[in-house]
Amino acid sequence: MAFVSNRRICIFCENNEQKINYKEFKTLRKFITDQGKIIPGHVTGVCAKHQRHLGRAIKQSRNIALLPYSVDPRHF
Amino acid sequence: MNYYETLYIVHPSLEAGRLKDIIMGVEESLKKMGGAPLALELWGKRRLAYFIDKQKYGTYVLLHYNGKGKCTGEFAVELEHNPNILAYLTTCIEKENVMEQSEDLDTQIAGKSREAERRESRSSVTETKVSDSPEASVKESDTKEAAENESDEGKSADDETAPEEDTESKQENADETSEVEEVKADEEPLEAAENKSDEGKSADDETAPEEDTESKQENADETAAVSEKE
Repeated sequence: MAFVSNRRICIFCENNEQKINYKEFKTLRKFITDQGKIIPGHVTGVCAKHQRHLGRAIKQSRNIALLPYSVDPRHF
Repeated sequence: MNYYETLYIVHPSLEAGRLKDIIMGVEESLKKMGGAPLALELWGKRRLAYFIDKQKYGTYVLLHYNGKGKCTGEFAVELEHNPNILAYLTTCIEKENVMEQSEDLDTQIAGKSREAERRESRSSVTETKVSDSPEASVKESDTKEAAENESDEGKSADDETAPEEDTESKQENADETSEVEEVKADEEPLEAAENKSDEGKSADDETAPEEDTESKQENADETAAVSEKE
């Protein structure tokens, strides 16, 4: 039986043009849950380096009210 | 000299004229601190992800400038003490990422105000469309109800007029019946009188006419009384 790799490839490593910036909150919104939590890298497939950048950018976006700190799940 | 960018949120209640004053005041304070503004971009009025100072919306302004590291701290204190600034974020950027200002501040404010007006008009149009359809349905239902009411009113009017007609017809029928009865009453005594007159003729021819008249009157009175009772 051939080994099938389920490992995802980091989209930021694939596409060098896609920068991680706190101002691009529409991109960052893909990496947070409905409650506003940061999705771990092993779920999204983002590498450790870009996951660090993502975490920093998401926290900066939260600081300037572009992204929510938390969302009450009762208000979905 | 480093390059910095500051994104700050202005109070949403400030309109075009005062917004420009606030932005110019922030730039002047930055110049006093030793910074040099390079570019300014107005994002416009946006909805905040969470409430800041009980405000749901805010006007985002992005400012690129260069200066020494000391100026950012003083600039942050200045923004912190400005009551019209809801929040701010200062980050260090590379020289390559400094944007070029293409439009003047006045044109940007005018453009954002136009966009806001368009959004409001669109939202109002959608609201009117949404509100029109129920109103139209309500109107249609109202018209239907009105038509039904009219028909009901017609029916009720007919019903209202019907009893009168009924009473009139009843009265007419009653009159006809009374007339018929009177005719019958007239006819029956005649027949009875004829029979009696035939009998009376056979018995006594002279007394017959008087008896006939008396019997006629009696029979007529009886039939009239019976008809009245009925």
